Amino acid sequence: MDSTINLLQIGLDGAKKRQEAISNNIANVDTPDYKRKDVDFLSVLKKEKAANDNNQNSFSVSQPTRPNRPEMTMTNNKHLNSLRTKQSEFSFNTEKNTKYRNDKNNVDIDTEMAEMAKTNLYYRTLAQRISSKFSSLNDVISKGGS
Amino acid sequence: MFDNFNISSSGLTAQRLRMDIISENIANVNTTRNADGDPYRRKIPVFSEKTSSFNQVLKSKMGQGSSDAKGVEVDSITEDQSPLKMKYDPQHPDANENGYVAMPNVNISSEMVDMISASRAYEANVTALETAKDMAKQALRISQG
Repeated sequence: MDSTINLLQIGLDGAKKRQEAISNNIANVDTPDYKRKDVDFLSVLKKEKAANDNNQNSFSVSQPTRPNRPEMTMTNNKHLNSLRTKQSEFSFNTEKNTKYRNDKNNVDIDTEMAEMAKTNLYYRTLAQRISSKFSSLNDVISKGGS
Repeated sequence: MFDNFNISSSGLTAQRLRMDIISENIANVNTTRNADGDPYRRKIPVFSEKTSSFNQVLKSKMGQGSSDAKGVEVDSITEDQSPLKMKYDPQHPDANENGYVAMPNVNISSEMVDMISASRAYEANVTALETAKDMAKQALRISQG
C-alpha cells in the first residue's frame, strides 16, 4: 500500500534490535572475554529502500524470502499486496578486534550509554513519523466521503 | 518482544549477586573458621555471556526466533587462592605453633572499589531497562493516532 510505513517499520525493528545489542553489552560489562555486539541496521534499511524504489511502479513488490511461509502470487495488478508484515533480518555483528581492558572485554560503558540514548531518540522519531503518517491517512479517509 | 527486558534484568541479577558476594567478603573479613574449619577465602563471581539453548537456535534459524543475545549469567563462584594474611596473635585459639593466625585474604579497600563498580553497573542496567520501557511506550502510542 505505502512504502513509507513499511520502511518506517523496518527502521523501528532495527532500532529495537540495536537496543537489544546495547542492553546485552551493558549486561555483560563485567564478563571476561566478552566482545561487544552491534547491529548495522542502517545498511539493511538502505537496501530495503533501494528495493522499494526499484519496485515503485511494477506490481510485484519484493517480499523477502522467509522459510516456512509460502509466497502469494499476484497475477493481476489490481491484486493487493499480501498484508503480512515485512520482516527484515537484522543480525548482530561482533566487534572482535579491539581490547579495552585486561580481561579482554571491550565494552566501554560511556559509548554504550551514548549509543543507547541515540537509538532511543531515533526510535521515538520513527514512532512519531509513523503516527503522523497514520493520522494523515485517517484525514484522507474521513474527509473523502463528505 | 520482551528480550530487551530479559537481557537487562539478567544484568541486574548478576550485579546484585556480585554485590551480595562483596558484602559476604566484607562481613567475613575476620573469619578464621568456615564450614570446614579453614580460614575464609575471598569469593569471586565469574560471569559469562548467556548462550542460547538448542531450541532457541533452531527457532531463530527457522525464522521464528527472536535473537541470539540473551544477557549475562553467573558461571561460577570461585575462591581467591592468593595467600592468606598471617597475623601474630598467640592467644588466638586458631594460632599455629609459632603463634601466627591465618586471616582471610580479603582486602577491604579492593572490596569497596568493587562495590562501587557493581553499583554503577547496576545503575547502567537500570537505565537500559528504562530506555527499553520508553521505547515500548512509544510503540504503543503509535496506535493512538
